[in-house]
Amino acid sequence: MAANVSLRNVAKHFGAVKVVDNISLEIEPGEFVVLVGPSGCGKSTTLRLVAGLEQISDGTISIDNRVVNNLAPKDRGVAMVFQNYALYPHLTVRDNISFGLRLGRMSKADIDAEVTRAASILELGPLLDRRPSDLSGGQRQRVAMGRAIVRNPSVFLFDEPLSNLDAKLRTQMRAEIKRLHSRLRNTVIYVTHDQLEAMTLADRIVVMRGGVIEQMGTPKELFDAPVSSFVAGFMGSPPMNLTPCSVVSNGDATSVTLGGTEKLSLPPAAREAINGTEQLTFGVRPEDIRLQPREGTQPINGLVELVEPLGGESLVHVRVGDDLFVMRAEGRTTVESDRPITLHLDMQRIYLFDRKGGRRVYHDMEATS
Amino acid sequence: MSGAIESPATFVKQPVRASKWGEVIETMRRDWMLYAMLAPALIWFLIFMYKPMYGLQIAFKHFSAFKGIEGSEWIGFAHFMTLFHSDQFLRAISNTLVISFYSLILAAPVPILLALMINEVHSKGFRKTVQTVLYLPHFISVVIVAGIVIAFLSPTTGLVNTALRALGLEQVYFLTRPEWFRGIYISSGIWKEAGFDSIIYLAAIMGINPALYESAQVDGATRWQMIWRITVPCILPTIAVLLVIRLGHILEVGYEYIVLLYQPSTYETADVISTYIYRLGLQGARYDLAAAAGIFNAVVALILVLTANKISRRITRTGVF
Ligand SMILES: Nc1ncnc2c1ncn2[C@@H]1O[C@H](COP(=O)(O)OP(=O)(O)O)[C@@H](O)[C@H]1O
Ligand SMILES: [Mg+2]
Repeated sequence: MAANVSLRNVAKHFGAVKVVDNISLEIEPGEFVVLVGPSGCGKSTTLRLVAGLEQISDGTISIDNRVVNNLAPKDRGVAMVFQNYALYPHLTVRDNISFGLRLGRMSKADIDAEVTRAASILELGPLLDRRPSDLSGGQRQRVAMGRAIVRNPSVFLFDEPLSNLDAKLRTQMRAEIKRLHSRLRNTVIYVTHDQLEAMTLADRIVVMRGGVIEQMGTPKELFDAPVSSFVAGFMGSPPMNLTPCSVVSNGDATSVTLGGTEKLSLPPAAREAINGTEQLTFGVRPEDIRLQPREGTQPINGLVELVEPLGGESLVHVRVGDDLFVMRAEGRTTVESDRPITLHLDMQRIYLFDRKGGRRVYHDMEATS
Repeated sequence: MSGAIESPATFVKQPVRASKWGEVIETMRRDWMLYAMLAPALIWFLIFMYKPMYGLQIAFKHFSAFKGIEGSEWIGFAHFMTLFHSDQFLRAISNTLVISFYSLILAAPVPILLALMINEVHSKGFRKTVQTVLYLPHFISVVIVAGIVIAFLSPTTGLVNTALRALGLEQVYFLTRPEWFRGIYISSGIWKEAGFDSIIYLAAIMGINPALYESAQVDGATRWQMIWRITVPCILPTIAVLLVIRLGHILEVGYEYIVLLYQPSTYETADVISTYIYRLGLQGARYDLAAAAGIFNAVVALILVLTANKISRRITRTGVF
């Protein structure tokens, strides 16, 4: 029983401060949508507007084709999982999970059946009689999800549910949430500031910045075709290398200068796209920088500043003039710190952004797809 | 040890000392500032709490001011026997227990209810006003409170009796009638302290994670359900601890306020252990007998505190110690 969720020109201000500014978003039934963005960009507020924990200042929110602007949270068919779990410390796991059900007129047998069902989905059976204080972080998180599941909501709302867990547990719980979604198929709106979580979980990602939607699309779309340097710098780990560059036109050829010294000549399509703009940001993903020349690459020279071994690969930080580039070196690398190095940039995969406003002005989509 | 105040000396290997005391002296030398800050409280305890204990021995002596504490002769438990054969002392014990019991069941819940009510007030200005009005009586001296109560209940000019007369009822001599004493004592005590006592519960309520309420709101809980299913259970440990403290003090009804309110005609219900000791010791100069009464009181109180703490530990997993 998944429902669609639709936000039309939704705004929220606290006093004079606009926290959410004219957001429009259509979510399909059963879709897993992740709101991602830096801290303070209004993700939680947006989620709380959908939940009904905050009153919207302007616009319309509908759930299941029904305008819910003035409906109480409980009548919206949503369930929310909070960042710090929000478990009742004085209640057992069983009573925590059934809290919402026990408020109504549901029979004891029905409640027990629901709790048993949720416990089996989340493998909470053996923990039902414990108190939250006797549980690990991951277990608490599962209890919080159990409390949401028993309400049979048409929309699940998650507010940074994994941010209090350590890295390993986070990976595990991420998989569990994904499994849960593929089993229950409810609509999910999931808030996180972690782009990796967004990439791995989402059917569709909504990148927010300063209360507005910067871009939305599938993880692949955002990764391959970021509309702005902000999105480009947010997605990917490590994110895209972004550096200001100056444009030099010389007759037919146009080139950009990186780090003050290194010249790269732009493909003809890029020359047209930038159309005289001089203040540009040059972008290249760490994956598109190589140590050996290939077809379509151009070299720049720099100095290795740091080699970060990650096991199967290494991140190499290279200083080029005033700029710093990060690249991935596969396998065991012979690169060492404080040595000169030549990087080969795949010019078919570069990005150019307008430095004012950050909009993308050039990228060769065909090369990426 | 907390790292902040540790001096570099910690990291220098000290020569092994022969005794444990050497180590203690060493840490005291190193953290002398901490000990200096502790000193005033320790000195206060020594002078005003521990040193007088020396004099407690007079409870077991036939004390004579001329012979002094040392010189007076031992008489064992004779004073205790005297006390337990004294109707006045037994009456004082029973009065103390009755007054304490009624305060416990009538006065203890009031600050909790006040805190719950204050917490539901959402208008900031109104809330501040309410809190100020409630806290104010705490800062009035008991002498003045007693004065207010006496004036209020005065048979001729008091507000209550004036009202009774206006209604055509007979006036009541409240403060001379033993059956009125407990009610007057407890209700004026509530008026004076309940507001201030609510602060601690209010602080406990403030400490509850707001997400618990939001989660309950999404689940469809009403305000009423939130109070009973979240707020009250969450402050239960605080309630339990304060109850333990109160139970421990059940034999300690303060004498000042009672001395100000009672009179011989109300001793029957008003005379408690502390006022009895006060009259016996300070007015009657029977220091040895008063000391014996005091020791008895303290021992029973200690047993009560320990018992209450144990019960609290078992029920709420919280205790004072
Ligand atoms: N109740 C409130 N009153 C005033 N400002 C608020 C309130 N709630 C949130 N804000 C502000 O709104 C902005 C966005 O908050 P939030 O939605 O929590 O951000 P995010 O979840 O993306 O980190 C923040 O700057 C925050 O300070
Ligand atoms: Mg947030």
